[in-house]
This record gives sequence, C-alpha cells and structure tokens, in this order.
Amino acid sequence: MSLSVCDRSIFDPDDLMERMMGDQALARSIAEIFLSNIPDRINMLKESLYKKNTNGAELQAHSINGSASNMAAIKFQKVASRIEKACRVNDLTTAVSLLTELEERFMEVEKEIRQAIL
Amino acid sequence: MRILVVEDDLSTRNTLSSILQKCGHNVSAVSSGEEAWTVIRQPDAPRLILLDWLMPGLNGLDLCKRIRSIDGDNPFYIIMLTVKDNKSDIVEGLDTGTDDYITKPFYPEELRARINAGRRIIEMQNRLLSHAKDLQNSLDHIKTLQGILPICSFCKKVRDDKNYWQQVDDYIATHTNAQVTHSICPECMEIHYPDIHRKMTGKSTEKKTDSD
Repeated sequence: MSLSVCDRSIFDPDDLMERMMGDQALARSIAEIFLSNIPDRINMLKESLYKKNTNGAELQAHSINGSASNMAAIKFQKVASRIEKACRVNDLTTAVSLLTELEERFMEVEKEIRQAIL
Repeated sequence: MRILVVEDDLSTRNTLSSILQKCGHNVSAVSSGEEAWTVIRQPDAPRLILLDWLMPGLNGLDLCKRIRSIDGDNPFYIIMLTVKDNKSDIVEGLDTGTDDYITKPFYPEELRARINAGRRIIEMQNRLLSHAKDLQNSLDHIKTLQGILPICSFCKKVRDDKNYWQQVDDYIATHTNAQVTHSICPECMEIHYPDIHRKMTGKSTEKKTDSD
C-alpha cells in the first residue's frame, strides 16, 4: 500500500483502514467489490432517471451513497448524496445534471484507490 | 452471538459480515427484506438483526413493522443501519420498533459496543423468559392444590383432573414437590396390629364384657 500518495480530499485510506480494523486484505477485497459494482449502479441510476423514475433513482443513489461512504470515497459520496436528495424532492433536472460529475468523481476516486491500496 | 445482516449493497454487506466475524459473531447475511423475512420466520432465527433502511422491495422500516407483528415472548433486537441521520428519521425508525440506530459509515468500535448492548438485552430477556416459565410452572402447581379436591368420603382417594381416582399419597406426589413417607398412627396401629400396640403402650386390648 502507498497511502502517502493519496489525495485525502478524494479518498481517505486512513479512515477506510480504521473501519476495516486495520485489515489490509479486507480493505482490498471491499475496494475490489466497490470498483466492480459501482459502474453498474451508475448505469441503473441513469436508467431510472431517464425513465423519470425518481423513487427508483433515489434508491440507486442511496445505495451508491452508502457504498461510497463505506469506502471513504469522499467527493464521489457527496455527489451521490446530492443526487439522492434531489430525487427525494422529485427534482429530476438537478439529479440528471449531476450525472456527469458523478461519473467523473468515480473515475477520480478509482484512480486514487488503485494507487493507494490495490 | 448469532446476527442477521440485511443489506442490499454488496460492499457494505461484506464489510459488516467481516467485521462482525472478526468480533467473534456468527453472521448470516442477506441482500433483501424478502430474504430476511424468510429467515426471520424460522424458529431458530438469529435474535439480533442489523437492518438497512432503504432497500428495493421490502425496505427496512416495513420489515421492522412485520417483525414486530410476530414478536412473541422473545422479541427480536433490531439495529437500523442507514445513511439517514437527521432527527426525524431517527424518531421515525425508533417509533416503528427499532431498538437502536447506527449511521453509515459505521465504525467497528461503535458497532461492537451497540451489538454488545443488544446482546445484554437479549440475554436479559432470555433470563426473564426462563424465570417466567419457572414461575408459571410453580403457579400451575399451586393452583392445582388450591382448587377444590374431590375426595372419597370412605376410602379417601382423590379424583384428579382426568377423572381418575388416586390414593391421596400418589396425588400429593404427582401434584407437588413434597415427598411422602409412610407410617402408622396409634389408632390404626391398635386396629391393625393390636399385639404390637399392646406391647408399645402396655395397655390390655381385651374387650370388657357387660359382666365385668
């Protein structure tokens, strides 16, 4: 692991390791699940939003939000949280407008996670 | 401690399972409210449930309501686990019947402490349930003996609740924790064993006649 090179405003590996009880193998395993699952989750979120299904989109955004918070993917989690809140009040325009930023933040955090712990 | 984890997100579910197993718990993990409901209805279901709130299909809050509708003498201990963290959410969760609340992202120390708090409650419930059963058994015995005992005027047998006539000593042995020992009172000794009675008392047992 090379935790020192990490941008902690994007990904906080110390926070992750604290929550994994210092278990590096567990942290790697959770990171791999996170990185392989999130693209599908984002696609499902997009699909719900394009179908104007804000309830479904809220659940998808909520799941991404929870997963990101578990992974200490800070900026990515904040965008997912904003989309979840927008969906809750049926603000489809705001939710859709945040999709691009969500994908960008995911690519950004994926790079940080791979450099730091994989 | 056996724990049921209900969480739709795979990475969070795996994290929870791994952390809880590291803490020495026996974990069953499912990904939906429907799967959890199937597990919970089994007679040997884990009594402590870690439950995600927002899930597709049967969500945590609705599952909690279902669980409370079937709770018997030994209720489940439910910890709601969710990103929702404002006061009204917490109040809604507790009002619905959850026992405790953990917000994501969770930390192992907090999780461990809350699970231990839950375990204390479950163990206390189990002890109270066991005492209540013992007490009920005792009350059943007391009730039996406090009721009216139908007893034969001649042979002194007692009629039990199944309409069988029992010797009084058998009846007492069956319906109480008392032990019966057998002896002979002086009056019966005089009737049934007059020789022994005479020797013991020094009295003559010869019948007096009218000419005496």
